Amino acid sequence: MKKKPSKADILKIISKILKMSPQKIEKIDDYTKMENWDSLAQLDIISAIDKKLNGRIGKIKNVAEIKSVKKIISLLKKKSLIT
Amino acid sequence: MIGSKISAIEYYFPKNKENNAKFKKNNPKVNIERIKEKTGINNRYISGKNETVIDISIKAANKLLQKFSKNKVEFLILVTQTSNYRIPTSACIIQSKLKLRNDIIAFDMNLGCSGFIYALRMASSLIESKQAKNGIIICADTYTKYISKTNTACRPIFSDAASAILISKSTKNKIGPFELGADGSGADALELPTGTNEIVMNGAKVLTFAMDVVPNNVNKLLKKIKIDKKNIHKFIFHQASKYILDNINRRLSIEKNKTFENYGKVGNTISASIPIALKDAYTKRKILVNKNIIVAGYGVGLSWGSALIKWSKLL
Repeated sequence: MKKKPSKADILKIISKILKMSPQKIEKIDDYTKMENWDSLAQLDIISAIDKKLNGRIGKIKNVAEIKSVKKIISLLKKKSLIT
Repeated sequence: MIGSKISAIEYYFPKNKENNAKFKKNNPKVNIERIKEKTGINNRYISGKNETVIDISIKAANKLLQKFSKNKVEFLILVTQTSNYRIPTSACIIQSKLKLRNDIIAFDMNLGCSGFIYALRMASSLIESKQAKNGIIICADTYTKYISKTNTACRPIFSDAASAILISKSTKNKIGPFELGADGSGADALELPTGTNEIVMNGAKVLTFAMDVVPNNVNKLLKKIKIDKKNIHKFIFHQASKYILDNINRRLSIEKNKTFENYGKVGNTISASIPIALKDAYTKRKILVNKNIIVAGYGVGLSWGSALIKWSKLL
């Protein structure tokens, strides 16, 4: 069985797309305040997280509207999609 | 058995074209290469200032009627969201301009990218319930009339076009079963807000919807028809964009050789896109007669649908 992704994996995905360190990303929290964020980056984030979760991102309601690192991590944990 | 088949498909694009270089001229600050990488689209067709949905519909339908007698056409379904008429019904105007018979069933259907599947459902029902033997579906839109040159979310994607599809009675082949659906709670993902002239799209909402709903819908259809995915000859989906199609194919684990894509050259042509893709795939011998094809449309509404088609030779 494939290992469940961790919070660190999610932060790594977001940091790679936004070209910032995971620590900085977590600190700023709001994607839209990050220099490399735009609507295309938002698509990349959703698609990359979905790939990591094996197509289960749809379990999170209104995921397209989420622009906060903390919120997405907390919702993924709540749905037991990450450790 | 009374079934139905797609007997002919023709399409028409407006003469004006807009490529990414032209888009870049109007939007110098935009990274068009990055947009191209995501959308996979390089060319769009733009209807002329005075060129309407009715004009392009007639052009596509006239091409079809060169191959089939207009006296045999018993229904006309126009799928559009951008007709210049709200009242009267545009399908009636087209009936008159094409000089089709008067004892015809003619109506408009206000749907976007799922519209072809919904119209196909109606058309096959009319035939299977013996109310008609032949009819035409026209899928036509001029979205670009509601997308300014600086609308960076929509302008690089949407393209104007009309496709005309002849649906006929068949004793051998069948269209269906179908799986249709709708969810108006996502209506703001793509809309023309009241009192405005600019289409607004929330790309992330459209992506999450398509990525989630379309694979579920197609899997539901596969379960209903009891045919394994590997025995489907081709999956031809609404040509939204590279990003959306890649994610749908990934979720469905569909191999590249089982899909057909033509969005790069023609853009996202709303409801006309599946018929255009079917015709192009058939012309290029990518879809073969008597093989099982799955088509799926999804978009504005939100609305979606898929169908099984046992493919027939086209006129």
